[in-house]
Amino acid sequence: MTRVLLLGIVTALTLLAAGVAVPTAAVGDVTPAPTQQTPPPDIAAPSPTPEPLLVNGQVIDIERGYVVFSSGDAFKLAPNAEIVDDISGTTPTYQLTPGIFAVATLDPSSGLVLSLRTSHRPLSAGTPAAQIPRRYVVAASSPRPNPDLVERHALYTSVLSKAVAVTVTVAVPPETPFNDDVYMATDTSGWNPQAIKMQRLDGLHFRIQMDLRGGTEIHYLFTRGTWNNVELDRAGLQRKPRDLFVPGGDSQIVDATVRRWADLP
Amino acid sequence: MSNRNRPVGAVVFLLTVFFAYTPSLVQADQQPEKAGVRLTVAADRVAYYSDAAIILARGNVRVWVSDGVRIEGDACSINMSLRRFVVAGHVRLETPAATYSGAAFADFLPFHRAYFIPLEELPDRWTFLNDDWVNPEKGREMPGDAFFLTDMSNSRPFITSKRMVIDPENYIQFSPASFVFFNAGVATPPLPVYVRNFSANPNFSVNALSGASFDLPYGFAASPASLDAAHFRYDPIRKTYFSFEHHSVFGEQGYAVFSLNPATQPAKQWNVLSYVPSSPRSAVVLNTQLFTFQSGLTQPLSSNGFADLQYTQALRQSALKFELTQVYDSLLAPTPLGYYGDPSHPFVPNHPIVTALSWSGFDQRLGSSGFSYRLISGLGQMHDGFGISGTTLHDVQTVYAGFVLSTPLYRAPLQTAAIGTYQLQHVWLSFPNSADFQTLTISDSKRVSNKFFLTGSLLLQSSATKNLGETLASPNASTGMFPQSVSPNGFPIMAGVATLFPHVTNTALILTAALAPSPNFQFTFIAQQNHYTPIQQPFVAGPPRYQASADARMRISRTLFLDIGRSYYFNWANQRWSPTFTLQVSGQ
Repeated sequence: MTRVLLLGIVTALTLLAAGVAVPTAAVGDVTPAPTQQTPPPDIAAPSPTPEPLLVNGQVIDIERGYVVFSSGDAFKLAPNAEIVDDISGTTPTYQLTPGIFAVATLDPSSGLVLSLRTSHRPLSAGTPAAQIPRRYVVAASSPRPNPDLVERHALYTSVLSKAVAVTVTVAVPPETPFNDDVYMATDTSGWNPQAIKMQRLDGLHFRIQMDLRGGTEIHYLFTRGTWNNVELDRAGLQRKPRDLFVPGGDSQIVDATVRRWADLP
Repeated sequence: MSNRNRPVGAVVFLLTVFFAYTPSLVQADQQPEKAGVRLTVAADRVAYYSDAAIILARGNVRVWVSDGVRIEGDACSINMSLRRFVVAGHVRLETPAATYSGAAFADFLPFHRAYFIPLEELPDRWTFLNDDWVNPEKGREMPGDAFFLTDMSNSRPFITSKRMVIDPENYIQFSPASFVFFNAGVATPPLPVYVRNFSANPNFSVNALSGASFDLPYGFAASPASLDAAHFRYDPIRKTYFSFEHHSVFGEQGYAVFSLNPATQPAKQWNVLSYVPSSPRSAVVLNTQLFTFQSGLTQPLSSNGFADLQYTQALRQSALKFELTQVYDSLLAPTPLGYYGDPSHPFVPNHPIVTALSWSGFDQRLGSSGFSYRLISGLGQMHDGFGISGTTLHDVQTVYAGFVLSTPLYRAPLQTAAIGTYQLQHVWLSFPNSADFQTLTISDSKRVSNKFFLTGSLLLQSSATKNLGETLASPNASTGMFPQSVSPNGFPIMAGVATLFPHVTNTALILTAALAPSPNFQFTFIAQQNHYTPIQQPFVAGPPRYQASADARMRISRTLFLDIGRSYYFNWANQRWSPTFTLQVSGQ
């Protein structure tokens, strides 16, 4: 018995050394190699008495007997799979074009999609396609990690999509004509030289407060209303646009100084 | 016409032509780091959602990528912000290496990652790395949203089309373009090719057109380095007309702009503005203006213009500028009658040439006083064989010197803060004559709350000369006789009024109130009293004695703001309200 076991191990090692693939499991049921990534949670693992799985997501293609979700996951349709509208329960009167939302009912034993309920609106039932156990997803190749997707630690703990009160204050040169207005021309406004009108704080300072989302990046230049009087650098040469990046948080203060105007000596 | 000046003028205009074509020469020599990818999308319907920077195409979608890849599918979504696109549904992917069919294709352009779901025998996941279309990485995990088609069912597009050419970093070209207004309530019929430029290069916005009350640009041709636009314009004098503008950009900061304004009326202005950095610390600027009176492109009845060439060199704590200007008051050959067509287009022989050198210092601290100052100076030489400014003099020299002084912010009574500035410029002219320009500003501001600011200001301005008849006005700013605004005699436009007396002063008291209750709404009110000497009288001289203006800026959509303002003149020259509101809609 021991000899047989040893022989088996030696044979397997020889085959591996020779580069021969050893079948390990069925397609789509391969445990990924250890990586820095966390595999999708198996939250829909089959119970001893399996119930149909509901797969939720945006459908990008129904073709050649497969339904493909926007996560890139493809599921095989049963030959008699039923496709119905989620609200009416009848055959959809609209075209099943890419981008439609659907909930697929999956037979846990066969992995086939038994039915598909579709809607123009996102549906809430079921499990997102990306979180369905990989054994049900049809794919010719074994999953491989993607180093591009290694989780990065965030620099800031704030919610980046939150609106941030950004206050920009600019000091203008003393020769600025007193009755002139000061503006910000931004790339987001197509460099309109009067895009954002600033308010006077005192004899030499102007200010504007804006609500900007975390993650916003704006390039801007100060003007007095036209490109003939855009700001220049100290020597009177063109300067690169200023950069404003909003990383997040509650508020952000930007202090700027205009050195020269294009139309003044 | 003086033959002595002819060659010089010819050289200047040759330089004009040279520099007008410089951008294309520079561009041809440049080796771009990596050519930007350009997409062409054609479909039964292509919709552009400007607020979200999303393009959706549906029905018989075809996408051509400039690197030779072609994709067909049922639907396409392009995210302009993230610079990625998805084609989904019955996808056919044609690459330089092979052709595949599948369910969806996504290309993340900045990262050189293309993701594909082939549907050959079995579905699979392929990733094409760095444009390697031969050896896809099979099975490689993909971003969770790689194939997500943006749901815009609750939004309305801004432009619909059949075909778009997309340079993700610079522009979208629609052919045709149908604009959708009022939440899809109104749509224009399909219009000719339209280009929407959103380049991060601000030089695409350098404007060579003179002012108008209303300006509607319509871009119709573009490349990563150029933009051509027609402008529909209105102003109270010319009424409605069309103009044309061409922009070229090169390098990080170079540009050339050509404009014809108006193109549809006889009195035409042809402008070229260009800026060529010659090193990180120097640049060449060429500004030319040609005025013609002609119907269409027929023989003009009058033609005059100037070319102004500048070279600026940054020094350690200052900058030098050399400026050469050639002016032609008549570019047409003289006629026996002394005019062209009718006496309203006379032949004027003057063609002064101006050379000047100016120096401007950087801001400096005045010891430990907190004051700061800046010095400026320059000298110029003007030659005109036909007399300068109506005199018999053929040569006039100018020398000017000046300074700007500003105080720090001082604490003042009532928890206010005061600041002052003073400017003086003295110009010597070899007529002989001299001119002095002074401005003194003292402001006292109070932060009533974090959202409400009050500023009271005293503004004193004066300009004085010994002889108003012996001055000169030149486009050459380095002569010192091209003050803050263009004026008929080289003197400042003071309080909005041309200086017509040898010595004028204006004393203004200005109250500014700025209220900003939220980032979505700002309100500014300005009240001003002017005291102008020697005469302050409507239609004679001087600005309105009293003037009040208000301006409100408010958010009108997720990305757009409306700025609206109007002035009140307290019955000055029988005028109460300014003729129109000023309206400005712009994105933030």
